[in-house]
Amino acid sequence: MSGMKLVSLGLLLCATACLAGCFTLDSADVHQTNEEHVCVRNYGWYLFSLVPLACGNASEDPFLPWAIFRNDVTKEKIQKRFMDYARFYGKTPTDMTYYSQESVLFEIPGADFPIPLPYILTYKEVQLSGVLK
Amino acid sequence: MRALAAILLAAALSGCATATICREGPVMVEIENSGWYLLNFIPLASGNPAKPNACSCRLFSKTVTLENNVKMLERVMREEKASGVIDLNSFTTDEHVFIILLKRHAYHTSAQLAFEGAKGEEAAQGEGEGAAQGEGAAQDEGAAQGGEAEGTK
Repeated sequence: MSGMKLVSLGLLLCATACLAGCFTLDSADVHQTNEEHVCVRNYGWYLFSLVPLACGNASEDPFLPWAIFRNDVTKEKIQKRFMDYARFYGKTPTDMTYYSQESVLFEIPGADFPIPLPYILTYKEVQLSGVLK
Repeated sequence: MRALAAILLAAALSGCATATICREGPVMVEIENSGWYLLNFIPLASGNPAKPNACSCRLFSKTVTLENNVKMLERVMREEKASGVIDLNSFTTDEHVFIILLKRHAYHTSAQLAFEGAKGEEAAQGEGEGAAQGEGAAQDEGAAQGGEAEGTK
């Protein structure tokens, strides 16, 4: 395999890894009110809007940052991680808000031209924002 | 001409931190910080959370975080003399240019300010304009300017 092909393959793998999915749990203290603001986010890709291809790994101790062929972009899993976090610190959750996004017309990120047939490759994202008191 | 184009491009690609306060009814705050990343991870330029609503950006540092948004919110709370916040929520958005070559990442946070004792809008109007003008005039000014969003870049 020529060097150019190896570089291209490496770049393709990097791009796939970067875009495959990512689970994040961010938190920040609001010192004036002694509260903690928490945001949990996960996203992933689906075939025909049903078959999970790749998404962020929402497990507590993930071996890999991605989950392949498993659906972790669900409100139940996101909220479970949020509630586990709240229980771990002995806090009460309030002000919980969901933000969901679904794109059914597959569009290569940054390319601006979608595949004209919808639901072939879909993108799903769920975010949960809340406050711990 | 090239220098001007480069400056304009750099300005367009730099991040932006804004704190918007809306006093139409309850006092609402919306914080947004955005930045540009190379290859999904390397921060190029992002908004400066220390100077929201100013043409200021931070180079090669990751400032688009929930923690920085909450710090900006706390600063607004101190300035507005708010005792707390209600309905605090945040979300992020991503936009990609040329697959993963460039990514624009933005963190949005919004909340309603809570004030002790008086109703939120009255307290904010009284404190904002009462010091500069007579108290009677301040009520009228406050009502006229109430819908304007403050400090939007």
